[in-house]
Amino acid sequence: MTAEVNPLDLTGKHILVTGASAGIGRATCVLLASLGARLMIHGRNEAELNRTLTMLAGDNHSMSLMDMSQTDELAPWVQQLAAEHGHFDGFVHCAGVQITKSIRSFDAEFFDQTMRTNLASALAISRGFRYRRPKAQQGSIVLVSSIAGLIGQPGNIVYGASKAGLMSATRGLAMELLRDNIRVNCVAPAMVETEMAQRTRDDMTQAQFAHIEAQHPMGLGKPEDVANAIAFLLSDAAKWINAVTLPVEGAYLAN
Amino acid sequence: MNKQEFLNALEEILELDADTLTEDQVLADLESWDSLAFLSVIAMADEEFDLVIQGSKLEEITKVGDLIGLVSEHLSEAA
Repeated sequence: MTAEVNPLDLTGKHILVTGASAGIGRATCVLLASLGARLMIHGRNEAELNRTLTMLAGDNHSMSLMDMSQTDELAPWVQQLAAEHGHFDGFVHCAGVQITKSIRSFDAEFFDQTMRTNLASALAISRGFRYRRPKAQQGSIVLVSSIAGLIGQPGNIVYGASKAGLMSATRGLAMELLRDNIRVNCVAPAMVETEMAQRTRDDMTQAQFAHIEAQHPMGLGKPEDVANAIAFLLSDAAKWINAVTLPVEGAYLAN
Repeated sequence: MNKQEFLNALEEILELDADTLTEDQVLADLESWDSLAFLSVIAMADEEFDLVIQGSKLEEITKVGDLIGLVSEHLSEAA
């Protein structure tokens, strides 16, 4: 009889997941914990983050609250977490904001807030993640981008730019962190049934949302669909996959 | 910035504990010394002293003291 092999096994890996209080972040935490990972989950909403904690297999997980727009506080925050709980093997960046806004209402504050929360946070946390990390063990970073960074959508310009920035940052980080034995990859989901998507839906007419839905040949995604891709990229099964953006979009882009 | 402060800034760039670096330290012996660390030294010199260090200088540098030599004219006396 052969031993059972799970290529996605994450036993013994310590993983930081931002944006874990809802949607893709929460589903990712549930999956990673079931694959054996020890998690440090991050969010802004303490009650919802606690709820995520209760959904996780195992009892060795921790949580931490942090405002992702406070760019310069993020690297020290991660370094402190690593000092207190042990270095991280993985980092999944699900935290992000999406506000539907026309270019007619564009201003610096809206731009800065979106870019800091979605893009600068990924870089600042990567800085803290790699700091004095043992190089012998391969590390893996997965940034959650969006197909909004690959296509054009009215009212979604700044969000799209921040997500395109994540794809570019993935490639740059992957090259710079080669010497640290850290892989950096990215997933780009189409619309997934999350609280964030619900807010987008609320901002639109029924006809507008029906149009978006119709652009998804396989229907809208589930948070678990994206979590599966993230778990794969984090795992040793992807140990020779680096600097890529994996679209997770039910054939949206082929349509 | 005096010499000690410059050494402390180097320690930060090289991710070493404070007050551990000496002028005699051979840079190649430090795991964290690489082209990116030198890039950070160049950026620091530019920011702190408005001094442009040519990347080609990297080939002439072996010890921490050599790095100090690049900026020595701009360092103040220790307080």
